[in-house]
Amino acid sequence: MRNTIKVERAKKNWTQADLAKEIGISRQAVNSIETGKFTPSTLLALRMAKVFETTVEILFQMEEGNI
Amino acid sequence: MKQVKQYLGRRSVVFALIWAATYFAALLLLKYGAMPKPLSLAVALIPIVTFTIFIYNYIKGIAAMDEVRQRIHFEAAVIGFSLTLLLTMVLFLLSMCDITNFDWFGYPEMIVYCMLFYYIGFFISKKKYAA
Repeated sequence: MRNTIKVERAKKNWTQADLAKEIGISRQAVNSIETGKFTPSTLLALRMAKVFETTVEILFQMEEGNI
Repeated sequence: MKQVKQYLGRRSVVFALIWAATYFAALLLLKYGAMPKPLSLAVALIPIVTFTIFIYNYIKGIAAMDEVRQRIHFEAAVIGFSLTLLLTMVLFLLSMCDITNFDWFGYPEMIVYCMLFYYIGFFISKKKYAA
């Protein structure tokens, strides 16, 4: 699973800690999700999309191997 | 929300300490205190109560954690349980061959091993999701 969290963070000029605070998770959790080590739940993905004012489809994309 | 998480985390630690204190107190009393059997039974059951309270608070604490931390604890429990099962199986099979060493693998040591296995699992999983 690919994601554009880093890009979206850069647009808002947010650090991982800022994003973590916005969505109520730990900075380590943000890092794990951003680096693709952990796939978030639908609820968390929706929360992330909401704070970035985008959609889950833009934030997370399936890779060839996931289909 | 963060304050709630910290509060639940601290509560778990406090109840873990209470459980450890009652366990060691019960251990000392049962080992060195000459008590009638019903009283020794009551003393032996006290850590069950404190352990239950600790586990209840620990689970509540985990429920308040974020998804990644929950996953770390879940994987730690799986690894810890698997290793405990493996050790129990090996010790049972060795006992069938009359190879037993209760100095290293008695009930008190098993408690330490179980906790150690959980922490092994915790560190493996934490490393997996580490920043």
